[in-house]
Amino acid sequence: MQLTPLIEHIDGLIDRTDDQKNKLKNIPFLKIDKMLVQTISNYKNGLLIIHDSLTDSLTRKAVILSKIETRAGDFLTPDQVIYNIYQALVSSAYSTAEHFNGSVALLVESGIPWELYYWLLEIPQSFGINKPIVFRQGIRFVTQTFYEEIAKPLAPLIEIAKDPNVQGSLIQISPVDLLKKHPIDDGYIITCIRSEADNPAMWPILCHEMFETVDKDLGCLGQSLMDQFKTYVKTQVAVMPLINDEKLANENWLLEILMDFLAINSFGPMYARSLLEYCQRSPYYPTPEHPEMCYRIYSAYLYLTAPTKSQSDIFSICQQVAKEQIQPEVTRYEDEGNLDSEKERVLTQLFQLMVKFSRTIKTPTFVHRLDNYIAESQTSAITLKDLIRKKEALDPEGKQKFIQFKDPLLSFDRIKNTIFNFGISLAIDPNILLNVVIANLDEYNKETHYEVIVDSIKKWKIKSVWDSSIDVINK
Amino acid sequence: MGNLKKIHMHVYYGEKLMASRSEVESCFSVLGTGIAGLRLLKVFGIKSKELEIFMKAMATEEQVKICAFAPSPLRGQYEESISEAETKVKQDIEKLSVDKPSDETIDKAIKDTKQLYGILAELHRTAVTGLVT
Repeated sequence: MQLTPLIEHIDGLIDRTDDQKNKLKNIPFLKIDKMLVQTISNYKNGLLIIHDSLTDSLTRKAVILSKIETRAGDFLTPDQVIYNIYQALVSSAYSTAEHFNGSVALLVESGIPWELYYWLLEIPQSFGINKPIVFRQGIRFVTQTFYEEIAKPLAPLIEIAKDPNVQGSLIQISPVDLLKKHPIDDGYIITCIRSEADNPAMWPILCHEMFETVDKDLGCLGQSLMDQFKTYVKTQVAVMPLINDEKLANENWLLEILMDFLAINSFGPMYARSLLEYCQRSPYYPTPEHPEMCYRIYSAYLYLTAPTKSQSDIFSICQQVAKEQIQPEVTRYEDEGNLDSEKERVLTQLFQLMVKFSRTIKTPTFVHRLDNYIAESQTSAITLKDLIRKKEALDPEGKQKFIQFKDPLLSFDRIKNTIFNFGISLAIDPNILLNVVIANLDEYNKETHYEVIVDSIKKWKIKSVWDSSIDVINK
Repeated sequence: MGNLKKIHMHVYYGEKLMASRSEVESCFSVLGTGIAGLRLLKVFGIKSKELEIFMKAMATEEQVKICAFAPSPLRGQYEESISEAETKVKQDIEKLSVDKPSDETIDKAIKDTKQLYGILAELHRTAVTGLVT
């Protein structure tokens, strides 16, 4: 049969997914390992769907059709049916199978630091979302569900298998729901730009993608972030401010701006710099799905000009640095007429609505993170010895309790020097750390600093786990 | 055109790979099914499940969209041709909805669907290899 070599090839690809699973043994984090195993199983099921479509519905159909007289009065062999009728569909099935195979490799050998998972998964977890979310290399930042990535390209094959019989033939093929037989579990794949996977300056863009994931996931329950925002706006103003006269485009553009806002509000001021760099380096065009760049940059700029209340100097310095970088771009948009006073008015109104709306969102803001950092840190004058002798470190009987380890509170310059000059990893909130890093990007050197930053995220995670354990023990 | 909804020609400087490849795979899959359905109609006179899937997928009104991050040569090269080819296929499908479409109608639909498939395949190849002409 003509399809035999292809089916054998797909068998090989299915076996290869197991080989890739074995490579996951090198990942030291169980949770990430589990998410990747589930994702690979989904791809494997995608390959099994292709396999079963080719072996069952298409092959059997070809045999049945070979027994039916053509309009020209002759008969085709099963191979002729495959070649003459189904060639393009078989080609696309082959292409999709290869795509799945490549995707699995890009997941397992992604070049994306595993530590990034821990940091970014905080966003969906703050909404109670615990589905697998995995990162893969690609050529732009994009979020897709497993369904969109794996099941959607197979939709015609799945439909054909559900209703495989040939009109005019008495020979029956049992219908099968391939999606039930080989289910594709829920979850998300976030694609990172291949060459940027290990560039911390582009990691903030992943916060945008994380909020898109949340928006999609909550959307399944009819409560997407966008829906929640629209509902909130109705309580504040009579009409939603319009940034595009076409309804669908307005909705899409608004979504992008809302995601940017939530990302900058959560990540911090230096998101603006990452966004500017990303938009400038990519050949960017407005489409019905993505607004003009000036809309997104101006919306980020508004965050940088808003008054802030933080006892730490980190916010104000980062805000100032980002503003200095964004300001010339905004001035250019104004000079070139891309941004007029009316557009700025609408974007400002939207920004103000988003600020109020964000108070209903559970994800910690950058200001909250700084507040926590200050609350959980210790003045540098107190030594560890002092710390364990403090009253709160002792139980009612005067015995030593387990206590949360407190780092000294560091200023913007101290964090910068510790990372860039001394090469010491810091167990502080990665959002805070990354803001300082991106604000000093001119001093960043991948060879020297990348590992320090990744280790900092690891240390922060260990510290968080330790602190939570202490809470439980002391209770 | 549901499954041709988002043909993102995402090419990033150095990598020259298709980003939303799954979306392009979806298009190939629908068009491949369409070619099978049309040929079943032409060769056997059967209005099959394949044809039904194809007609349903193509019936939605969404247009091929080009990603905001597509570089101009690729975008300029393919945006118009995809749009034209898509329009032709949609027009062919309208003519196919009669009880017994003529051989000419079926032949034209096969030709136009193959053309759209070919443009997508070329775009895919171009994006993967980076050979933007």
